[in-house]
Amino acid sequence: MTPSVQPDSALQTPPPSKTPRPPAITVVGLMIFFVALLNIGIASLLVLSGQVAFNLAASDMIAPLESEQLLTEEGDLLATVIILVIFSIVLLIIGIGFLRLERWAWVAAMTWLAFSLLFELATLYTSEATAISSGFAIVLIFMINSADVRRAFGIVRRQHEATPLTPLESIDRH
Amino acid sequence: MKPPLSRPSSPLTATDLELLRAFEPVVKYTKGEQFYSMDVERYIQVCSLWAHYPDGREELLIPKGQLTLEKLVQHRSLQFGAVEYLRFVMPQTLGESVGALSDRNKLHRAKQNVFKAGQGRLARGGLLPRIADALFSLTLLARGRVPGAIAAQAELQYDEMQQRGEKFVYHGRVARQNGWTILQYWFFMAFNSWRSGFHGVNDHESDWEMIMVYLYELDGRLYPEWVAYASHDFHGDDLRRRWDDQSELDLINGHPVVYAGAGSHASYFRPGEYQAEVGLPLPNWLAQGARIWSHFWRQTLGIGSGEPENPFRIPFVDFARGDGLSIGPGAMKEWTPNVISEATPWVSEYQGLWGLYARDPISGENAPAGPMYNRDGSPRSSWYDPLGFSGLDKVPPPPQELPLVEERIADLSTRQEAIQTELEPKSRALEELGIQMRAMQGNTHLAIPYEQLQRQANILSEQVKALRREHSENAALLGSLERRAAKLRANIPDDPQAHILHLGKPVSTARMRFNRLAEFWAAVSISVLLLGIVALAIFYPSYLFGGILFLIFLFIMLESLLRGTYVSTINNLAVILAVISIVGLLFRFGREFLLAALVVAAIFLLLQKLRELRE
Repeated sequence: MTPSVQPDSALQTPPPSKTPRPPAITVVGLMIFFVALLNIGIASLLVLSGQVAFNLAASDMIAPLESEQLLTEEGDLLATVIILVIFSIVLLIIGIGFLRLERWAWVAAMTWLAFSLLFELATLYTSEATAISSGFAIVLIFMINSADVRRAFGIVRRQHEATPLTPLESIDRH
Repeated sequence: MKPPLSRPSSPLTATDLELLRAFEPVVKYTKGEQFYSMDVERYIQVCSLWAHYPDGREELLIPKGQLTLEKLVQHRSLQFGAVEYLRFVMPQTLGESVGALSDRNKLHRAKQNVFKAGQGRLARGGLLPRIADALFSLTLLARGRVPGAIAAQAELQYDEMQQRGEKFVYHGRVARQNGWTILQYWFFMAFNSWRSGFHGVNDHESDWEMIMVYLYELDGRLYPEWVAYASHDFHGDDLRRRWDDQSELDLINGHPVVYAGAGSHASYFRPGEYQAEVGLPLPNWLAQGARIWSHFWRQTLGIGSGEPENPFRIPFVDFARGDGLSIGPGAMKEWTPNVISEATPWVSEYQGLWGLYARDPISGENAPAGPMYNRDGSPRSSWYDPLGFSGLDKVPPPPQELPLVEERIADLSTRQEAIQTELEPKSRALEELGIQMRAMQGNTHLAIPYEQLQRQANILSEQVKALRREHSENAALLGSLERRAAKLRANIPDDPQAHILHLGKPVSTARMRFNRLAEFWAAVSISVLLLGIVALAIFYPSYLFGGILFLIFLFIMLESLLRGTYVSTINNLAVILAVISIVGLLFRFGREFLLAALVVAAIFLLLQKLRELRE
């Protein structure tokens, strides 16, 4: 009878220890969920208030040719609701990915924050509401840019390939 | 020291010409190169000599066809600030310019000597460097420049000269300093067509390039030890390679190989495409601002790694592929050497420029001066200090190193003995003082002599400390010298690249691998961006600021996607936008921020004081 070989306990690979998720990731993930839910809430309010008519007849949605607008008021509201819902779904997906430490979620969150800041900068803070959301985005950007969060998502910075800088005066090869 | 049998050598009695011939290089040019190293005599014969005066006046001193080397070096009295220069190509009419450009294209086709930049050239620099590049190109409109038709005409004239009698010439000089025999090979080209022919930075009439071979003497023979190629991107030690450094220096039958940059004729050790980054000179306030931003970005925000980068830089590519004509021993064409020295009149007595003075304030388009001078008439360091030029002034020839090391060991050993001799009585005296002082403690009536002794002890202690420090430092140095001597005695070679701080390398293939879309985008992006801004200004003037911001943002994003740098780019952009937003918020809601900050400060202080009360 061949004796069964017992694995040496010292040689056994220990189960991978679960690295604790940095608290900043949980906070940012929850904030993304919060924004997504906020958008859904706004969309729901618009629908529940009866302002959005779900009359899908195109003639009621698209403004007449002689008008300067593309959509009628009803069409505009419906489009807003649709955009809010789509945006919320995307944010929910990003939020889930973020909490699951997916690299793409970090990139997507950074892209979303950069675009939202850009829009607010372009409008130059016309209201207090945009200022608050700007402040919110700024905080989130610095949080997800912190070293431990980046490390958790495997975001590494590329080393610059060193090229000695030539002074302008010596560009003339002679 | 044993003679290195694997290296070529020349007898010590060899003439300068024999030495130059024995180690002359093989120069490999890039396909498409238009100008090769030639003799100055033939060049002068088709040139005219001019003077430019500080009031802007130009004077023809000697017309074309009458100029000779003898006439070139004749003394002429010119006022301060005047620039003496040659003209290889005479001013052309519009018709002549068009004709020259057309004939040049025909010549390229006939010779099948056409340069192809290849994929990735335009995409190698990012969007911001390309904007800087576009601005730099626009400055050519304001700066003095060599017109494109001049480059074409120069090529036709050079081709005509070669048709009459093909000749490839280097001007060689032999110098002897500190036990080294230095062979300088000067290459003179009729034109530098880097900008017009190879997408580079500048064009100028005439071009001087130089390489050096350093020989040492052993048992009556001269052996090569170092090779240095003059470069504007590197200095000192970084310029030279050891003869046996096979990874960095190509040799063909004992002759070093030079890969010449297309149009620029800059000399490289390895074949490839070199990306030079030119730092733009900034006004002090802007340079200071850039430093503060860099510190904030790296230290405060912790973004970026490695050395701080100058954001105001323009990348250029110098193509040194070595796939074109090669000249040298055993190559497609052979050299005709021309020995020069300080005694050669045109070398030492003509301080002017060897081609058109284009009145470019940053000199890029002005022709260079000769091998012995800089453009401003000051002596060229590579001529008067060929050792210091490549950092060899601190390196003795190999056979002299061991005796020098042994001499230093002997000096240091003597000094160590002297220190010991000096140290012993002093440390004994210090101990005696210590014993006395210990005995005096507690006796109040001895307070004054005690203080005196203490002063003496302090002085002596400092002296003993200094001697012990010197002894210890010397011991460490002695150890390293002895190890060095042992290594030299055993003939163990050093790392051939130990002296190099910055190793010039061709751009890696990974950095060149851009697809056609990225290349196309790189070519059109700046123009599209400018047209987009114009369209915004015309059709949506009220959204101009936001529109430009959005447009630039989109362009940067697209660029990063094509270059495969999206993650780092979006990260950097987001942080920059956050910083700008903070500043914007402070401006827009400064009062509210101030009030909020005061409230926070008040709460903080209150909590602190309450904690104090509790304690």
